[in-house]
Amino acid sequence: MQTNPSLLSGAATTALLIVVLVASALVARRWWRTRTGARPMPLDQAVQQVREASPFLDLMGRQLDGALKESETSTLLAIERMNAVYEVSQAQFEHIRATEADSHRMAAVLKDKLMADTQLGSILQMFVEKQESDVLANAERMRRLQGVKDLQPLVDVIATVARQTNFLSINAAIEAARAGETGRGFAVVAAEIRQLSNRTAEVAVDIATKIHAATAGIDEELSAAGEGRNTGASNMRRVLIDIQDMQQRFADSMAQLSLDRVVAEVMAGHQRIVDQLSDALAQMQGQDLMRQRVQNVQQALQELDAHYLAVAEQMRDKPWDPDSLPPIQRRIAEQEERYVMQSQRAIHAEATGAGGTGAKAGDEPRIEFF
Amino acid sequence: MKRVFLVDDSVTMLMSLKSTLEISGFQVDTAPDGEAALNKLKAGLKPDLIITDINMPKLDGIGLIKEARKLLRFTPILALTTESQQGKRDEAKKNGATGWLVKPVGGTELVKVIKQVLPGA
Repeated sequence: MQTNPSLLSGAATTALLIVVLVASALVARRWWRTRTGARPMPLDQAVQQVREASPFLDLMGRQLDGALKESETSTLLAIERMNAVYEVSQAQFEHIRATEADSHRMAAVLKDKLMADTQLGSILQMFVEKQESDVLANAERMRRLQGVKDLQPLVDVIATVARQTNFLSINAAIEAARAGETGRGFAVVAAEIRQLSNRTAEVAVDIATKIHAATAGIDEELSAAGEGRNTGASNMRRVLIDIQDMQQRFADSMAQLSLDRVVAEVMAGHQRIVDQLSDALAQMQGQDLMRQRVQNVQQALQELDAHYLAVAEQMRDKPWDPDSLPPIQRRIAEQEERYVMQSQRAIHAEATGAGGTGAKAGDEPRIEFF
Repeated sequence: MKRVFLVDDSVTMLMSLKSTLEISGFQVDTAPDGEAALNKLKAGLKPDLIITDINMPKLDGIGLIKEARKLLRFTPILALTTESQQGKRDEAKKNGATGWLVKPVGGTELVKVIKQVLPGA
């Protein structure tokens, strides 16, 4: 912050104005006396004038006090606002940091889920493969059962034998009848043989029916197993593919959830805000510099006031005592000693035309380690 | 968190520097003049760094540096002042000051200086 030049120049101007006023009054009196021969200002009046200037100086001093208080209040308010800006920025930053923590937690959950899904996928894969293998083995076993069809020709042979036996028994019965009484026993045997051939034929038919039913059932089972294997496997495969897709999506999400980079950028931005605020806050030191300069001018005004009041006193109420009145040059020199800033000394040197201290003191480093 | 003790008779200086240092991560204590600062030190305040003005009422910065050095032998003490007279610098150095900074000092510049005298801050 730069020191308020208008305030400073106001104080300096006031002091200068008073000096000029008094000097002008003295010069004017002398000029008036020489040019017109008119009567100079009466001493009492001059003393009165000088004394009346004193409250004016006091007024200026108070005005400077007011200005200082106002600038101090404004500066403190500005500091308050900057602190508020910092707090907002800090809160935002904390919020983002919390979001980062949440995202890390979510990423950890996703990672666990991904791992569980991977394990589940592997188990499912094994299960699908085992099931496919079992279905194939079952189908193979059923296919082997189709060998029962090979029994059909044997049944045909049995049926043929039964039929031929039946024919033989009929012929035997005819021959037994032709033999008469002697053939009666043979007729009984022939009847038994016929009965046996009939039962054999019935059993052959029954076996053939059962073999047919069994082979039809096996065919049906094989067909159903084939269809089931195809649809079951494809369904399982589809589930596996879905799980793999889901894993990929999780993996992609985890990559997107990596907010570290964003947080790093926010952190850098926050640091820039802190640096800017830090410098802006430090600029408020300018108010302190101005305060010191104004107080210095106030002190000078008070001294000037005291000086002219003493002059007025010695003009009328007290005898003139030059030793009790320090020359104004000495007061100016004392004022220079009270300066603390290089810039004050430089202005002093410029105003008084002195080269010395103001010019040489600026070379000291602003920051020095001992 | 490093602890910095600020001493200055200007309330705006104290507030602005306190805020500057706090947002940079320092813990800050303050005192409005050398005498109040010395009382706090005598009461047991143990700052990692003291930053003091020089021209103050009651007890000035040079006096504070001299007294504080008796209590805290190794604590760095920086003078932060508008005072530019070499004589005052020499006096501060003689009484145990660590460094001299002329106001105004920028915020980042001040933090940099503090980190130089407080390694690890």
